[in-house]
Amino acid sequence: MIRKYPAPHIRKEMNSTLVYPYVLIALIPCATAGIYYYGIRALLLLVIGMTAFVFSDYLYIEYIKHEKYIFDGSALVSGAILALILPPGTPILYLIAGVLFASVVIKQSFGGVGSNLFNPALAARAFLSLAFPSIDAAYSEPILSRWSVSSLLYGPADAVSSATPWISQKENVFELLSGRYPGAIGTTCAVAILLGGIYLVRHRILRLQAPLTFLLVLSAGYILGRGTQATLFGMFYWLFTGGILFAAVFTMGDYSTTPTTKTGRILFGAGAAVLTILIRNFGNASYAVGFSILAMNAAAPVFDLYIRPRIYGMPSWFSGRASDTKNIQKGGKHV
Amino acid sequence: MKKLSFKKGVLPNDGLDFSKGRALSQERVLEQFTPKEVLIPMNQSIGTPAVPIVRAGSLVSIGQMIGRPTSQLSAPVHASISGVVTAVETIRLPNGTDSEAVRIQNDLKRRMDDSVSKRYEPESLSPKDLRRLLLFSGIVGMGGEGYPAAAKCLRASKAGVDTLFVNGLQSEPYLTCDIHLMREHADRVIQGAIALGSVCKVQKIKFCLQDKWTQEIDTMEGALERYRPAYPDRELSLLVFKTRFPQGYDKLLIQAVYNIELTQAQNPEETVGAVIFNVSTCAAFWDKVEKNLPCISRVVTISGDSTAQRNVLVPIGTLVSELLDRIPGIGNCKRIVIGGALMGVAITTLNTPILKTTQAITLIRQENPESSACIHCGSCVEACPVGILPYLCDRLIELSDTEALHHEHIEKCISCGACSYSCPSGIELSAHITKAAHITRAAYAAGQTEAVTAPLGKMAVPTAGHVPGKPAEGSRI
Repeated sequence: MIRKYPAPHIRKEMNSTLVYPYVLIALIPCATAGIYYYGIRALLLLVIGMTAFVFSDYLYIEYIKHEKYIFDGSALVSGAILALILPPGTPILYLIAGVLFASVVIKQSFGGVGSNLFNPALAARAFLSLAFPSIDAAYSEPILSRWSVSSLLYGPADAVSSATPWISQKENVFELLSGRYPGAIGTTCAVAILLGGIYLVRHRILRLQAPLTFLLVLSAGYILGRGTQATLFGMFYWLFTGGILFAAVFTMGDYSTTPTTKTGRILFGAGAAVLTILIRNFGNASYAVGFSILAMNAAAPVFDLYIRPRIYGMPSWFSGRASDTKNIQKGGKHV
Repeated sequence: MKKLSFKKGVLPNDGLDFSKGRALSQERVLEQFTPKEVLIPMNQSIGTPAVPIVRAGSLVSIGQMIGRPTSQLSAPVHASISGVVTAVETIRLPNGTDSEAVRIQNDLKRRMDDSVSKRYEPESLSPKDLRRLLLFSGIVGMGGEGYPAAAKCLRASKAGVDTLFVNGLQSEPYLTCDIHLMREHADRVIQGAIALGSVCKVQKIKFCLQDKWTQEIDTMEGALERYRPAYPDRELSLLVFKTRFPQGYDKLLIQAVYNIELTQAQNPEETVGAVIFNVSTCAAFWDKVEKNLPCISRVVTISGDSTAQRNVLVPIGTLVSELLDRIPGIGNCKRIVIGGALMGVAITTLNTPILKTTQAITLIRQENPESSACIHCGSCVEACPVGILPYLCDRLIELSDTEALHHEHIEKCISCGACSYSCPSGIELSAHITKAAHITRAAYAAGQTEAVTAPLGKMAVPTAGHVPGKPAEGSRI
């Protein structure tokens, strides 16, 4: 009956294996919207993305690392997010290439769940748009050909060449909120994304520091850039299109790729917003928000290294420990 | 009213506080407990242990001194029941230290010692008399700190303190013994605090409570109102704190009130002119002043996730096995914890006596979750009240890097367990860090600043969690 136990003897009910199922549930509205707009094609991409990710993780861990594969849902989440940020016309083979890249290169070779430096889904999206630039032209009008079998095989026939919908300007609030305009599968419907976000916040999984700063700095950037021409609709247009809202809710709450301190996360969000503004206005990348978040992912360990809570009784965080940062780096996140 | 708090910490309320809510309506009467046998250890306080002055076969009575203090930082030990000493043996206490202990067989005659029968008029006692009473009462910090109260008063009056804090911030889930005292015995607590105040020569006496105990706040306000006219020269007040863990840790209490952070070497008496006593300590002192009873019993909370909440008045030295035998509904608990659920020590043998510092016996049914990989969520960073990075320290412990751990200030750890509690991956952060902090503290104790290659080894789950007085002096949570 009696065994030796270390203190403490009770635990918070939250368990890390529970995090991913919650995120999966939060993704359901986006997935539903995507399937509504792009039909079986979207469903196919989602299913293939998720199963391929699980298989890839399983094979890597069991046959390359020779460890026991523990199913925790992280693969399903990454696979689903990747499928949702891809254009509906993405060829299946490209999707599988992206999944393999995300799973093997980005996730497992950095140490698996919790140790990855980059968000796997965003990294795969960036990889695909660099390796196969044609996918950025694979957007299509929603609803039109959602149940045709040919779209299942070859992608939607009515491809829209103007890949990035945020360029166009039409003041239709309903379309903006419902997401009925060409875009990636799951990132256009603002209402669905917000529903998922509220669910995550209510269950204390999404921490709002990074997403809120990100959106606030982006809005500030819009107002500064437009000056007197700024309109409320324009601002929401700028925030809700181009996958910004989706990235804010589902990738900025990722634990392993964002800083561990509150201040760090605030800076993370601000930095990502500034990079997004820069890339959108002066750069050429089609998925600006993805690249900027990836860049901030790379900076997250640096935030962890230099932005720390103050030690009790010390005037500032670095007193007594900045003498040898090498020692700190040794214990850093990605040794 | 302004609510005071330290920064960070955790709010342990995820369905764990049910026992506290129920406690208010259920346990009204303090149960008395009469054991068949007691085992009274000599080492119940910080400092040097007492020396037994009885032998096997001696006849002892309630309140008789059986252990003589050996230095200023030591407390006498008294017999808590009347009977015959059957043995003087060496036992191991839950915190891992060995101590001599006197085993007494109860003759159930409740014979009082001669010294107890002598009563005083509390009003006629001068501070000097009170100090003498405190010295012979054997009272130690009963919130778990175990600092001899007489020594603390001496230190306080030397430093010239002006404020006395009565610490009623039991922030650990399940613990209610101090809360119970304040609700049912507010007079004893207040009068004891005033008497301790006279010993320490303070004017301001402040009672500290967490904001969730609204009923107790009202009770204490009412009681204080009654005592204010009698003591016009004292400033009696009530401080309300936010409900957070570990709010009751005395350095964090000072931080919440004065916004001053004490280092390892500083004590509140000399730095801010405040002395902190636990609620149980105050009540025990009033027993000494009023009834001339030394510290021979205390209120112990018996609770946990598998049993009903109850507070029992237990003679010091009662064995846990005997106490639990008479409590119905122990059920199938997985472990028995001396102390609270967050900082207590799980015991491996039931032949462990209740000490003066034992606040509770917590019976835990739930198993610790299987630990999985760290997901770098930062929950531990947000929980840590002293600002170390537990996830990073755990990684460094794996690498056995004592020097880096020293740079990370792992010595500051107060072993509160907030990191482990909040970790969603179920990693034993607190256990690993407490052990490593021990080793690092020892390695750098002599003021060494150069690299010390103390072999940390693979830190498996350590034997005991919190050692009162050793890793974190003054833990009274």
